[in-house]
Amino acid sequence: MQLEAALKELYGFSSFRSGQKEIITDLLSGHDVLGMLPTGTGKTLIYQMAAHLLKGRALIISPLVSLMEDQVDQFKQAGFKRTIALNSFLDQSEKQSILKRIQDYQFVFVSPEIIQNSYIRSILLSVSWSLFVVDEAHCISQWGHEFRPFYLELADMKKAMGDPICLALTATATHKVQNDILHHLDMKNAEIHIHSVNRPNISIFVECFDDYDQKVGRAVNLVQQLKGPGIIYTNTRNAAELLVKRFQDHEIEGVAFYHGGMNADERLLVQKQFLESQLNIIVCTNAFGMGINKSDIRFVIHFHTPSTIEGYIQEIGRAGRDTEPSAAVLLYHPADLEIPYHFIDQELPDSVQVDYLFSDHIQLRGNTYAEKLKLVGLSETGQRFMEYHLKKAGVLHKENLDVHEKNALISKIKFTIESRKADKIESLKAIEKWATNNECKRSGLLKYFGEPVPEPNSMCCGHCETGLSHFYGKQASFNTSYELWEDELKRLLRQEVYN
Amino acid sequence: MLTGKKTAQSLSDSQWFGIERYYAAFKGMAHDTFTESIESLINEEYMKESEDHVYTLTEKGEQLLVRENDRLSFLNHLNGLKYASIESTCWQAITLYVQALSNALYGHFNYSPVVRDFSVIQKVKSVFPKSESERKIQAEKLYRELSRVLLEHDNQIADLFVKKLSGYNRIGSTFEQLSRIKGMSQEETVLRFRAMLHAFIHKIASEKMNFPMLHSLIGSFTEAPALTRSASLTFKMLNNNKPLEEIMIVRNLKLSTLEDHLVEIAREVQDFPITPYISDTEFLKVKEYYSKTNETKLRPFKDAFPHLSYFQIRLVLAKEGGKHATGSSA
Repeated sequence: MQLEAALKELYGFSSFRSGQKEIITDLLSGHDVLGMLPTGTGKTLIYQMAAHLLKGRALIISPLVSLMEDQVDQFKQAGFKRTIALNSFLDQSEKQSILKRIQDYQFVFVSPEIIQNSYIRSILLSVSWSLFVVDEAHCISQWGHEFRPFYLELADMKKAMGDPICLALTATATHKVQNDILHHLDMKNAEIHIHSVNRPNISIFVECFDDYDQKVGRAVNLVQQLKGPGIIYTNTRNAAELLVKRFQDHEIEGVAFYHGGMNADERLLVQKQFLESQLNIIVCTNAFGMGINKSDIRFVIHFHTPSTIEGYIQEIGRAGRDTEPSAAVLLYHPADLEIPYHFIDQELPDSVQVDYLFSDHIQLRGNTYAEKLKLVGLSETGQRFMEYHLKKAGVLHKENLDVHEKNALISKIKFTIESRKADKIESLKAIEKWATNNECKRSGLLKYFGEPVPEPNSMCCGHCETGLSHFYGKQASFNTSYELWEDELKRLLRQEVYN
Repeated sequence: MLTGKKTAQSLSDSQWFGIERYYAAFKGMAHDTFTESIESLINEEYMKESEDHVYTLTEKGEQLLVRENDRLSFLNHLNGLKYASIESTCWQAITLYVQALSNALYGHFNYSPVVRDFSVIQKVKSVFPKSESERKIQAEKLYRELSRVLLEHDNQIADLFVKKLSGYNRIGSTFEQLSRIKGMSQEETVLRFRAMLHAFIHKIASEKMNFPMLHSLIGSFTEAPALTRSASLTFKMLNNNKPLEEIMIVRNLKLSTLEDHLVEIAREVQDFPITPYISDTEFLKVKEYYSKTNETKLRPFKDAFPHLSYFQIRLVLAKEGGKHATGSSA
């Protein structure tokens, strides 16, 4: 009952969502916890409350630097003002002024890479921590869909911090991935809370097209009819902009694109407009859509098929956080997966690049492997991947290796790359099969995670004859227009009242 | 020069050709877009290529400029070289302050800020009025000051500015949205807004007594020498008597970058002493050669003073010409 009282006081809610209370109770009694809770069911509340009740400090590892600032905004708005993100957007003097006051912060967000910096690490270690939170913990597993090598270093950090209570959170992890998380984070006697990935209030629809123009037409049609607010995911920035243009040509109001190529100030305006319901629809790329935390999103449309089932689940999880009925619509076209296929090829180094890195080519000579890496011209992910493996082999700061050691390492790395690629292609095939087969869509997703088939539900999915028309409705419009700028300036600064 | 690349070359060229107002006029413009624009101007016979890479206006082009003179008069407010490096910080401080104050005036303290820059947030916090009565006073002052500046501009431009502001119950518009409302290209919308902002900053800086409220917000940015962020950090460390070697190590800079910073500082900061890097006698010799020849290319200097480094020559020219020949050694 005490916890409910705290919940009421902190958030004004009168009851917990499924899983929250149990995990907080375990944390408060000193247990490590692995929590798998579906997207959109309030994972943040768990560590906010736990840290608050432990009267301690929490270090939160988060994989996406671009999202950290969104999280910090959300913490501050929820009343947790002593929150900060340490990331690459800060310049040296800003970093220093934050680090100098580190003891004043209660929640510190960091990327797994930034805590490798020995200076930052030493400052972080100079204060005490009650909670070590690993968000998106599936990134630790080679078998996860978003493997991040430096997640494997987190157990060391945790140990150096004096083993605070550890909370590993994920929305999507198969059994294999769950075991990897426990093992790599060195969580002993952890309490494990696995909840279904199922979100019963989201109805799932897949529509297949073999004509691109028809698909665009359908997107226009859906956006005209579905009740917002809504999110539309695309594969590329360009597709997001083109789609918005098409909507505007059809006089659809309150729609904007949102992606990583935009000026940061402008992007932030779009995000805040959407949160304040000045915009009805956002068209975004997958990476940036993750930062949008709005509880009343009524539909999520995938204009392109995402590259993994895990990613798809996370993305549709943006809808219906308020538990009201919502729709997820995938517009499948066989060409959708060409870009992800291509991406898999580009993301990790190919064998020519690996050979080049270990060659004694004149351009590389006299550099350590850490420096050579920067000269090879790898993708960001590729560079991170290689850096990790060179570090693990203990050769990152060497300039050369003897032939045997070198050849062994080359073949090991190439093997790892090939199996990662094969794995990703497997994932693509899985979602392709799921999208195109003629089965209950919800059961298909749950089977992938090894969960039992759910009870029949009248709002299940397109296959189970739920109609999209349930989700049609008039748009709520939010009018912010005005006639004269002088009047608006008066309103903003509340002048009419005092004059 | 148009994209505002802070190379020593583009900085000095913009002054040498007297086109510094257009410095950074098209931030982020792709090279292809630039080439395409030139090509289309030639195709439509507004311009012709008189020799390789030298273009002149045709009569048709001259007429176009005369015809469009009124519409383009806003460009006179643009002052890219002076303000491109601080305009965004100034704008962020103003918009965040207005947003915070507006929400507070309506008793709404849990708004979601439209600016995330750490230094700007610190600035706004440091001047933000703590009590309700203070906030009312500040709001009135701010209203008067903002109206006063905005009334000096075309109604449409003042409207752009206000639409871009955020406050209680409204998040500001993006340029994409504004350009649709105004039926203008996005490039023109941005340029009009920035020209207005430059005039705004200039007004506040030159009449600070008349705009105490706005000056308290942006004065610290406008009064600092117009250095790139990185160079200003170097400048700060130099002022704290940090040796060059330490600056290079702490900030992880290459020697050539550090030298670019010093040249930039020498140009922008009147009393910055360059004697630690070049002796007085050498300084005077180079200076004399410069005033005799009015040479602007580095090569002839290097030929005349083979024992000096390009860096030393650039320093003298930055200090002396201010205007010219601070070109990089490359």
